[in-house]
Formats: sequence, C-alpha cells, structure tokens
Amino acid sequence: MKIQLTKLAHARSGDKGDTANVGLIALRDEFYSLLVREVTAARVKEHFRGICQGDVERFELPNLGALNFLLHESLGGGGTLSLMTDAQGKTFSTALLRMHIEVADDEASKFGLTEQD
Amino acid sequence: MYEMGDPVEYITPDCIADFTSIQLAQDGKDRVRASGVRGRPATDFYKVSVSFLAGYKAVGMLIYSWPDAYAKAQAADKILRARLDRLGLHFDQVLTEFVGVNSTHGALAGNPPADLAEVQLRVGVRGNDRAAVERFTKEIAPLILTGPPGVTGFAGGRPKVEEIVAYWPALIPKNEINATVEILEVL
Repeated sequence: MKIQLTKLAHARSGDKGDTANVGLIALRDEFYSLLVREVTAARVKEHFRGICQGDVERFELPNLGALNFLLHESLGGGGTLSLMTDAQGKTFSTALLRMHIEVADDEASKFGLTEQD
Repeated sequence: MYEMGDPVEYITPDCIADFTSIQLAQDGKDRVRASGVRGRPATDFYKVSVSFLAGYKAVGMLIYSWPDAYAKAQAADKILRARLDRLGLHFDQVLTEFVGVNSTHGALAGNPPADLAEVQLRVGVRGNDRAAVERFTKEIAPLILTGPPGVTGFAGGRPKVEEIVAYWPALIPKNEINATVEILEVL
C-alpha cells in the first residue's frame, strides 16, 4: 500500500548556496529501513522535477535514523541572487513529506500503518 | 538535521566532525546524552566569504480576491510579461510565483480549489541593467487600473530596486595567512 512520508518521518531543510539540503528523520527507529529502501536519490530527484535542476545526493545516518539529501541547482541561483520566495529552501522539507512510498501490506500491519495513514 | 552536506565530513573551524558517529540516548526527562562523536583534524584551509556586486533585482506583488482569484492573477502575469516584452526589456531572469498556490511546493501542491479566497501574484526580475529593472517597477500600478478586478495589496507603493550583493564562499591555504589580534580600547 502507499503511505505518505509525513506519517513516517520528520524533515528539516535549508540552503547552501544554490543547493537545498533536506534532512529526513524517521519518527520511529523501525521506519528507518523503509526510508533507506524507498526514498532513494532517484526518487527524490523525480519528486522534485521542475524544481531541482541538478543532481540529488543521498547520505545515510543510521545512528540518528536519518537520511540527508543534497538537491543541487534548486534555489534559483541561491542566496541574494534568487528571486524565489523560499530562496533558502526552508519548505523543501515539507515538500518532501508529500511523497508516497510503497509498503508491503504485512510490513504495514506489523508497524500498525493503514492506507489512510 | 540540515545544512550539513556530507555528514561524515562536516567541516568546522576546529575539526571535521563525523555526524554518523554521534550516539544519542535518553538521559532522564527532557535530557539527551550525546556521546561517541568522532572526527578528524581541521583542514589546511580557511573559508573566505567574498561578496561581489551581481546586478539588480525588484519584486512586485499584488493580491487578487475571490471569485476566480487564481485565474485573475494568472491573467495579470500574462499581461505584465507581454508589456515587458513590448517595452523591449531584457532580464537574466523573470520569476512568477502565486503565493497561496505554489510559492513553497511548486507543482507538488497540485491545483488550488476553484473557490480560492485570495492569491498573491509575485513577480521578480533580475539583471545587470538597472534602468530595465527600474522600468519593471513602474509596470505594477497599471495592472491595478487596467488589469483584472478585485485586486489590492499595493499600498506599499512602487517596488524598490535592490542592488544584489552576491556571496562567493572560497578557500585559502592557512599558511598564506598571518593572523594577528589587536585589541582597541574605546574610552
């Protein structure tokens, strides 16, 4: 079934020049492996199509149950050059939480997740 | 956890921190123990924050109300862009956002409801020609008088032209720098 990331993770984001940095943190330890499996750099690049013009890099922090993404060429030049309302990419965090990922039914019931979640 | 780049190589002035080595544990109510943090010595470089002039920009904003708020704001954007074209103005970038619809999540937010109460049209331009950016700022008021109705939010007057001070982070070898500290006393 499809589960939206907002039910599985917390996110924070910010800028480094024209690169948006999005941290995705599992709400429960057992969700981390789902995030690692489903929220790949390629999925994130596809999710932010039309927004992220460059590559997406992913880093894993299993000790914190977190993934860190770098979305290059995403902020209209970045900093003072950018014309965007969100030139610092602060809302890329919540934009990522819109993503739906595939979770097997038995896996979902083990975690107490339902489709409406 | 953000604005860190590669968590294994988080460069600080004192050391390179490895965030994958941090261990967190609950240590009582409202108390977290952080331990086991590893890292490596600092790099051979200082970071230099360089600023430079990079042209001009201005942002114009208008708010359109129900009914058809979004359609009216879109029409106003079309009129404004056609006007800028006819004036022969060239910019490095023209960006249109609809605050209340797509200024944070872009197309991910989907289409707004048909009865959207209000939306802010926000158009920004950037370029090296100050006169062109200045001219753009004079094209917002005509939209109020001759464009789609039910529009407000212009009480602040004509948008201001801003000089862009851009930022260039660079590295310089530490051995090129002789640091001295001078303490001045102000009486």
